[in-house]
Amino acid sequence: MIQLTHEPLDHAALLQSVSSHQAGAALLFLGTVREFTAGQQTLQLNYTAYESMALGQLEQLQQDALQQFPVTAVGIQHRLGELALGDVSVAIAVSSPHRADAYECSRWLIDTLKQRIPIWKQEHYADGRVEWQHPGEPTGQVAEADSEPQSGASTDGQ
Amino acid sequence: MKEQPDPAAALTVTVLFFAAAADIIQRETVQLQLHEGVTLADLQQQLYSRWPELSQRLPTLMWAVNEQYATPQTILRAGDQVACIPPVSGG
Repeated sequence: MIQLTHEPLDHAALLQSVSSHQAGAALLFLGTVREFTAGQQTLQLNYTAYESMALGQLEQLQQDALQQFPVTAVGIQHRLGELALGDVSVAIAVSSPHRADAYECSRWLIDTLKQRIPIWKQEHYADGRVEWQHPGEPTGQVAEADSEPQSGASTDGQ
Repeated sequence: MKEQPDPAAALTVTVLFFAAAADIIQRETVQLQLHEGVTLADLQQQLYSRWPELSQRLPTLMWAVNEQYATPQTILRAGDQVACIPPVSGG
């Protein structure tokens, strides 16, 4: 399953989609909206995407994972639009014969998704500022204050 | 009948902008009239001279042609959809 949606993610369905008798492990990762990042208080996030390309790139990511890791099945969901604190923004499910491969593959998927997929988050801070997060860019000043190199925003795959 | 494309013929390319890039130029799409043989690098130079703030505020932009990440040497064709992609922050 590969899904981009403005609706709350049905991660139970995602986990079900990777279930298999070939697998001895099924792993579900959820990225959720965090309130504090480097001392900055977030009220909500707004996600936008180049939707057609993001879907194609997510499908490619799924294929790459299946080729690079000895896993049985991979599914990815990403939510778009306005998200509140605690909402699930991304869900990744991996099944594999042995658990170590599912953990490794899941980690690779969220890290690579954050580098490759054309999706952007906009932070709405408690002090009224609204900023796009562009890791490494001067427009994302708050992101630069974050000690985590890939993150700088209020959900986490780190 | 003409088989070869006329090198002077204009072709129309659509450029999509997202997130901070769209905010900087205050629009989400731009249509450009280009000539046969023009590269993605040529298109970028046109955009950067029209909106210098784009490269100043977003120095590490990525670019896509027809939904695939593309290098500056990519030759553009009529009807191509180019996208200006600021550093991504999904997840």
